[in-house]
Amino acid sequence: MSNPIEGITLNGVEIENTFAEAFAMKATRIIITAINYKWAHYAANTMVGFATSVIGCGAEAGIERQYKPTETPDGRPGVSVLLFAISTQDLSTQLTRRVAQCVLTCPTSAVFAGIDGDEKIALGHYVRYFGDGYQTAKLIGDKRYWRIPVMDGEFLCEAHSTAVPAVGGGNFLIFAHSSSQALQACEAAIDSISDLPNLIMPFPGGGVRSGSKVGSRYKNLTASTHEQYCPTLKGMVPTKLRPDTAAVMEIVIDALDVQDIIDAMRAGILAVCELGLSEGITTITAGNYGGQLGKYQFHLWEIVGA
Amino acid sequence: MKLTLKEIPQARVDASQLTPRFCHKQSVKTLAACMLKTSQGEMALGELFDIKDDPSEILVLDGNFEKFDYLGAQMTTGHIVVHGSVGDYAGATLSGGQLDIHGNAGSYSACAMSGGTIVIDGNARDRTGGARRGAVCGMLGGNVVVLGHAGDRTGDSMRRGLIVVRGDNGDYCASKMKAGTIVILGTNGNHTGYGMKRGTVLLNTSEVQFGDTFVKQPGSYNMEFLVLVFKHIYRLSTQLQSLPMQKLVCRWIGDLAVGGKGEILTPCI
Repeated sequence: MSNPIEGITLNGVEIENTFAEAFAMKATRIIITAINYKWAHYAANTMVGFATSVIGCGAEAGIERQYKPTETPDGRPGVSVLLFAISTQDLSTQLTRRVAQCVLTCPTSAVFAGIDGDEKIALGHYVRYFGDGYQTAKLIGDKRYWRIPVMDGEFLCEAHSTAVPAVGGGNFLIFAHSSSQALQACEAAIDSISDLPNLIMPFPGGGVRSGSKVGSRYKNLTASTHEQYCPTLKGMVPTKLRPDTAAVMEIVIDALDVQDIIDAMRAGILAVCELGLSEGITTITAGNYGGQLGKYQFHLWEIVGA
Repeated sequence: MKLTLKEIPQARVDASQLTPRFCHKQSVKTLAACMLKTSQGEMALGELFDIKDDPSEILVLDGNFEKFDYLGAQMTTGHIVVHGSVGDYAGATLSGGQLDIHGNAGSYSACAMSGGTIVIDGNARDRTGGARRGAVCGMLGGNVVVLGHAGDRTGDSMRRGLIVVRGDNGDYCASKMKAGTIVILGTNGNHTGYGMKRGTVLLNTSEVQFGDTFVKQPGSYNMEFLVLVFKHIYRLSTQLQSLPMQKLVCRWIGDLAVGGKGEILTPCI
């Protein structure tokens, strides 16, 4: 992590002069439809489960937004899911697995590609083999769909989606006087970001309490707790925290475009700063690796327009 | 480019050369000198047509082209509009682009077609989207819309693509069909799906007699893919946009005489 040089303040909240370091990823969007929103959300929630970090889950995923019946290919209520991975191959593998285990299995569901791009990846292309030879293809226009017989009728899925370049790991950290105040700020940020398109916050509810560093003293671990941000270790290890900081929470953002990350970080930071020092929020900072690992840098001062 | 037929020729004419790409890359003078094959030798385009240069990308053909076969057959891209009826094999082997026929079409329209769209305002005779004589497969892709009536053996041996008939359809629809989708919105003749292996036929009437080699599945089915089919149909012609969407259907499976897994969908009463 880089050392902040100095800070500016918004409503008493210090914005550190640092940057969030983000990575190039591959992403796709799919649209899950069902007989009603309840079942569309069941399928989507199952699919985006265990998809918080590519390190341990192979993919990062989240629900982007709800689709009205007039917006979906089959005219039913729908939910869009964004899935991110390190490579196109990983994305394709994760997409197929998740559709097969989480969407195919959900009553009344269907799944469609929701993004245009140049790199074709399998959506229902391999899932069709679940049909054991009874599956049928339908080429409608220039798109191929598979109809897989299942116990409630047919599971309809588009054969392919596309992978597009994306950005993963946009972030900022919130320092507060207490855990409840950090959480309140975190929720304010999440609320303001969640209305924006083309992005997800892949961690539970959109917030992260376990900031990590690369590596560990245990050789089999690739990441471990970032002790310099743990308030209970103050005094035992070198710390990045202010003396009055008792809790830190982080917002992590994956998006389809650099501008989407900038917009989201700005909206989130301003929402936190609106609460201000009077609500116990002391500092906004960001996570980075000294600019050595990630392709993208999002400087907090530039983002808030200082 | 606009080609107006001077008079109906005595001989049948092979019009497969008349594509937008062929016509637009030439001057009026050179185009008039180009020869078309006929059943009685060759004829120059200038003998057959008044040729007018037009900045539009669309190739417009005006007149009665019932003696002209294979119209649009070699088209891979572009747009042909025919104001008048055409002969046999219109759009046969068409692989891209759009062919609009404001009139009737002869037999074998769209046979072995592999891409693009054909819209026939009037009626189409037999074997629309079917197989050429001796060929194993009929239509291989693309879309055919017949806004009038269609004759017998529509979609014969069809392998892929979509055929929509707004009016009535003749006998042996989808005979030996291998895959693809046929939508008949008017009445339909007998022996639908004869020898059908796969594919979908959607009928707008339940008053159809099927042979013993088609089995009706009990109950009714919500077929989500039909919504996609209808949305696609709406895009093909403005005259089809008022069609009611039909996704709750009864389902017949066959032709079991050939071990077929095809489906004929009819409205649920």
